Amino acid sequence: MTKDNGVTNIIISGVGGQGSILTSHLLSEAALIDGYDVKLAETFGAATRGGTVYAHVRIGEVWAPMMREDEADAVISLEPLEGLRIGLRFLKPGGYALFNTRPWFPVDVTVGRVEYPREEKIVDAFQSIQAHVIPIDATSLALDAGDSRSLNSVVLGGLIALEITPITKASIFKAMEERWKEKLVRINQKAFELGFNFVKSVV
Amino acid sequence: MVSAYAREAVRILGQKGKVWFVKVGTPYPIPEGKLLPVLQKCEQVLVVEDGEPVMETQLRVIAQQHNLPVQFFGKVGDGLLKLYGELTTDKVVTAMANILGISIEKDTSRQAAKEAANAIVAPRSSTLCAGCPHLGTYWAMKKALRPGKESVPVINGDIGCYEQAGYGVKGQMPQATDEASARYLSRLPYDFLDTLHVMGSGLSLAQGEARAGVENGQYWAVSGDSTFFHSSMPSLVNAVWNGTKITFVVMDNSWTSMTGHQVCPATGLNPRNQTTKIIPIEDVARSLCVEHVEVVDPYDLQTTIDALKRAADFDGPSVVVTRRECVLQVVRREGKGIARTFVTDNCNGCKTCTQLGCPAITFSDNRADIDPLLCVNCGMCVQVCPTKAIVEEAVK
Repeated sequence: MTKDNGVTNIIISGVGGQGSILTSHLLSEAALIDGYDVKLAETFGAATRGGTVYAHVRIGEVWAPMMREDEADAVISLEPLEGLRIGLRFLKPGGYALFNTRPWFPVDVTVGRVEYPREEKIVDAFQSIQAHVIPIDATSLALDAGDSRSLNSVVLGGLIALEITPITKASIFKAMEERWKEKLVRINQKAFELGFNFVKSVV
Repeated sequence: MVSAYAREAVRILGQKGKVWFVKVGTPYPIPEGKLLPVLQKCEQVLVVEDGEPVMETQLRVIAQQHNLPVQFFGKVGDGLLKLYGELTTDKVVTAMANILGISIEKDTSRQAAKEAANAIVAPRSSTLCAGCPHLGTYWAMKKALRPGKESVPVINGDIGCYEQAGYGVKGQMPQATDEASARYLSRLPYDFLDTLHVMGSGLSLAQGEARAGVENGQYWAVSGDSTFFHSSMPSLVNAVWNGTKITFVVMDNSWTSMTGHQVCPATGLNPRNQTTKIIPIEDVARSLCVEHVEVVDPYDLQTTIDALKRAADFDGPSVVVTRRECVLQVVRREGKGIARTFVTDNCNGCKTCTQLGCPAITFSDNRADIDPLLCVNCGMCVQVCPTKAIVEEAVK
């Protein structure tokens, strides 16, 4: 169901330092390589590390760089809680919630002021707003690829496997090659493949 | 940016070709010659702009001067848009629909489902990084200020990474005037600062407080290295000149880290990225006639605690420089390495280590743990643990 016309709205969320913004840049560069118009907006607070970070990527002819609520075709997240926080706000009915299952515990949880939601609860919450939920152990797959930090490429591979964006794997790989040195490209392309294959196997 | 929201709202409400859309390039002074003909043909105008109603006010004046019966909607008075918060496409759509008399259907059952689902979403307060030297400085400050001395410490901060100490943990922000805050029962570095304003404000506010006086008061200020050079030196002169009893802690991590690791006079690089001399903060403080100046490594917690206590006891302005390079820069240069720090079965679940505020430390099932993907082996939690349950394996 590749869209040739119309707009695809994607949000990438995570904890500051995980690479959500970088992922949004890769996705946008790939969209440009594929010849699409793209708008990118980054949203983060007073934290380079440890805070909530998300980026809007809008592919197609749009004006506003940030989408409206209930408009995202997919919210892909590098961390479960941040996927839920942003997904509940922006996912459209029938949208995809693809999230890494490894938590990065907030300090609020560590000191015992609040509880971290269990994975089943997160899945239930997404389903209550009619989202398609795809949990993925992206950190483990990233470690298999050679570096835990390549988890964003795992999740990006998962997104492309959903076939809801017009972006091709080839252009993502090209965007990686333009950005990184050979070793990083190799790890991240492997990570991408692992995420891609995992999502293909479950959808 | 806001013109994009307005343009999208026009399209969403199907008003393309039915309403005038004018994008203004220079909001002040507004291009009257271009806009007067538009106002002459309009009955209703929605002015979409961020911040203050700069364009709307000028347009209202133009309409009044030319006696035009135009109705304005924007931010003046009870406008349809608000002076606060960020504009979004949704807000512009709502305002535009309101003027045009278009009703927007709201899916109330979906709203209810979203609210119900949101109940399990835990807040995520912003933190310092795993292994951040500021964690050590704040831990030492907390210990040096242990309640029991019947003193009322007032800690003044400003902006930089160390401002995280002023944001609190969500939903639990203590009031600076309440008893608990005054006696420092708060447990995390993130509940620590009493004031948080612009660069250099910490030290100046502390002097005002010392002049105003609180019974048994202790006046503290914190700043970073770039803030010290940018805007703390005049205040320090003032403190010396007036003999104000203040403890000033400068957290020197060699970089302007908060905004993305720009250089500063503590870095050893100039703005053209050329090697240059480091200007030592302690030398500057001494040259400004501060009589009590100490330099410590914040990773060495006990030494830092002792230095802070000595500085607080000094009768006059004192400066403690806690020096350790920003851990992110160290990791970027040297790699993170494999986490060698872990929690053994000696852990009795006392939660002392969680109060260090390090994001690598987690706690569940009555036991602390360390996230190996975040830990940088700084060794601070090893020093903090009262039961010696946290150990660092030697490098093989």
